[in-house]
Amino acid sequence: MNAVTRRLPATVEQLPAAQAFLKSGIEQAGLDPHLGGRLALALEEVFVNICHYAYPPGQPGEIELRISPSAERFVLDVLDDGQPFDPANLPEPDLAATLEQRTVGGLGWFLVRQMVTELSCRREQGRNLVSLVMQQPADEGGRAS
Amino acid sequence: MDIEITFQGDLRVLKVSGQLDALSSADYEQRLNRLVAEGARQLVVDFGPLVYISSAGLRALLNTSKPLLAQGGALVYVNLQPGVREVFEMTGLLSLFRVCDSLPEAIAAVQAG
Repeated sequence: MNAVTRRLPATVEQLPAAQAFLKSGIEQAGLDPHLGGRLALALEEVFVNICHYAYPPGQPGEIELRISPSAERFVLDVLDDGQPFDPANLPEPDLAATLEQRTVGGLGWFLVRQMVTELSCRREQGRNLVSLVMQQPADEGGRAS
Repeated sequence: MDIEITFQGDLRVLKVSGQLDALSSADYEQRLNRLVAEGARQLVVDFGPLVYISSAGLRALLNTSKPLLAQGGALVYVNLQPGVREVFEMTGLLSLFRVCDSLPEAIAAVQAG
């Protein structure tokens, strides 16, 4: 199947449009709905992060979504033209903290890493590229984790 | 996201349906904080019809639980669907919050304080 792309304004209000685009790609590729749900969560975290941090305030840019499904791997690329960003530099959330100590940030990228089979972030032709990869189970009994 | 509120004496049961995401979490936070500002101290949050939660939703739960518990209130989450439960588990919220499997159990837990 060929890759399909969609460009959207980088605003949180566009999140439903992004999710609808992913949902149609998931349905066409026949990806397991459970895995599709995990990918939807990863997409929200990446999308919202770009909306909040990639572009200077008052100068909203765009986000490009690219779906490249294959028999074994469903790949969702999220691209932006904003400032360089590497989530590897973010601190891990303290999951053992008590309710009083628990801070409200840091959970987004942590969830992205938990949700997908593979996560890669790189700079490509002056753009940020986040690849969210979901391995399709080889048989009925298997399920990617 | 919708919230349906029913009263059982001093206790309020909030049935939350739909999605708690970056678009709806501010609304959730406002409505819960308003209930607490109006004097609610015993809350059961029924997530039975909630199909999705993201980090923005988790943030709203943390932002609303902390002030209520600090004021001596009690709050229990109940009926988590598998996807929502998985996110609670991964982020450690399953052991941080009080979570029950049935409404009667949740109501009893909140009434016990």
